Amino acid sequence: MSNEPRDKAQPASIGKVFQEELTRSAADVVSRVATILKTATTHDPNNAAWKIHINALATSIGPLLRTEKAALLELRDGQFTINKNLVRSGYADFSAVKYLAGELTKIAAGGIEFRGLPEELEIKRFAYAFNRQSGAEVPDFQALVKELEAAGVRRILMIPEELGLPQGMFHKDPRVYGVYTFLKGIAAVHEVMEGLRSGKSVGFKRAKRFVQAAVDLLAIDPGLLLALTTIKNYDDYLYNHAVNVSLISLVVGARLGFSKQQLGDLGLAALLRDVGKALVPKDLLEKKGQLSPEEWQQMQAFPVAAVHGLLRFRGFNEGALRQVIVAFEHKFRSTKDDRLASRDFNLYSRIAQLADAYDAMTTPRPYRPKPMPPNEALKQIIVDRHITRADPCLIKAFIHAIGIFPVGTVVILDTNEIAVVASPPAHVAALARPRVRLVSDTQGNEIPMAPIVDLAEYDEFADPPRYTRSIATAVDRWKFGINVSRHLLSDEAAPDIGGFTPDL
Amino acid sequence: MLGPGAKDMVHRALGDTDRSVRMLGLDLIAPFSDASTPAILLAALQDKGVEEKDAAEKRALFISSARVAGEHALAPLSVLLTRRRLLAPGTRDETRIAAAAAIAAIGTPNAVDYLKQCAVSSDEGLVEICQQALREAKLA
Repeated sequence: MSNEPRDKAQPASIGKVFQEELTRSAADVVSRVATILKTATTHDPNNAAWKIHINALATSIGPLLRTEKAALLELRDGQFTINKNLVRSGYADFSAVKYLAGELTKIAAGGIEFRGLPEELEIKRFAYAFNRQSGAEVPDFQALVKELEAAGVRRILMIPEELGLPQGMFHKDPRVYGVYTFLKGIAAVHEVMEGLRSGKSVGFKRAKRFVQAAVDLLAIDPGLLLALTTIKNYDDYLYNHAVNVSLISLVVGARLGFSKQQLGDLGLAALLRDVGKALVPKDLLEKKGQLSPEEWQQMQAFPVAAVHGLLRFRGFNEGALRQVIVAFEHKFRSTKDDRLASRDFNLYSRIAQLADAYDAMTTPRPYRPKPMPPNEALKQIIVDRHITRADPCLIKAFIHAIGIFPVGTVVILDTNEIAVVASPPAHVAALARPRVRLVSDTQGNEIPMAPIVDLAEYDEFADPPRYTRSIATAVDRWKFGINVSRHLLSDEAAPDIGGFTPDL
Repeated sequence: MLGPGAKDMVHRALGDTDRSVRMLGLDLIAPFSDASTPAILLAALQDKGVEEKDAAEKRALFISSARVAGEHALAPLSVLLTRRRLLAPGTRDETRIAAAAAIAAIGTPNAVDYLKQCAVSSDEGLVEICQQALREAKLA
């Protein structure tokens, strides 16, 4: 009798291990195929490094063929499936997934079928034939199929688009998904704050889903996350601010090389950092002028209230404990006691504190209707380090993440065009050369649906060779009355979310 | 929360051609709902195309309707739960399961009574689905 539960548990556990192996293999196959195709564009067939990937692909396909005759890799709605099971790729594999999806879409292929373990030569022939077609001016799916047949590639078959319905990574402009993700964040913070106010025990589920979606977007375009933080709103400042702090923290975390899980923890910690403010009266939060000692005490009490509230939440675990620590350290950050203030804080707290300071300075508030331009706020953080008590290394990472001219900064170019910084520079060596969306032409006429231009673009044929455009100066968006989020997120993606115009 | 622009956007999402956008809209519809939201959801519930949606989307639509429209969603959901057609297949099982779960999510005495009645009907499939919904919602 005593053995019965163990006997029963055994098959389940073997099944679980087998399932985990299949999941791993499926993700590996996508990543390996992408790597092989990419490497084939630059390496010769006898390159040793390339052979390693080829052998690894065979190893990854093996487990998938234990129970099935073939491994069918399909691209459906921007996601890969193998034998109809969704491939769950990690954050690190994202670029491989994106690359392979793009290549398949180029040649109108819906997927690749592996009928048995392909040999090394077959994989090589497949890779070269595939790249020849995907790199052709007019890629031809049928020509690729014929070429593979002629080359004797029997175990790797191309699946046409009609069966696989590849659609690229997204059906729409990612900015549309971005704005919905932003709204998800607002809804999540609202739920948590209402839970704190009412004393109800709510969970982290919605908040976690928001952070997950934001991390996914981060892998596609960090600039998009920063563009979302330009959506400003007076009335729901608390929700808006919490979401912005979370998004900015994620961009900084990614810059620091955080894993997907670490990013998830950081995003959630930053999102919940200020939730205790739900318990502070609104008129106190928006009070103009200095706080009285009693009011100051009330303000200082909110992180502790947040901690009490978070401890009551459903699904409390180690991850949640980290959020509690971040919220609690927030109290010491604002203390005047130097012994506490100089403590070695959790890295998440320090990142969130920087993001908080930056967003607070760039957001209009009733007591400060005209906020600082993003580049000025950044300058303030560098010059006046005691605001954040952040160490120089972290400030450096912060600047590298958001650029010298942060997203949302309105700039005048040396061509007399006006533009809005749309995404940080691609390379840290060119921090002053972000990508910008043009707002008006050299004559000052507004450009509808203006393109994004890269200020790192260099004109070699000019005499003398020079950058096509450079930033002449940054200006105050409020002075020019430019709705930055509309320019960055487009009309479809950014309706008048706030339903107001700041009164300046 | 937020302004009318955000609510319009969430409402519009329900009719989008992109499934991902529709799912995002359904996820957001409850927190961003206003007086006009129940009517929009009820219309979506009674739309002929509802059967063509995949299981996850149907479930999200039904549950959102139950949460936002409350008892007003009981009638259309009960139609989906019990619909039978002559010379044609009845409502798919996945639709009935989602409808039962949504009725349980309404949670009012009327809704729970209705599910309990169905749980003792002569339709074996219906009985199983309703009992399951009651068990999952801890109403059994």
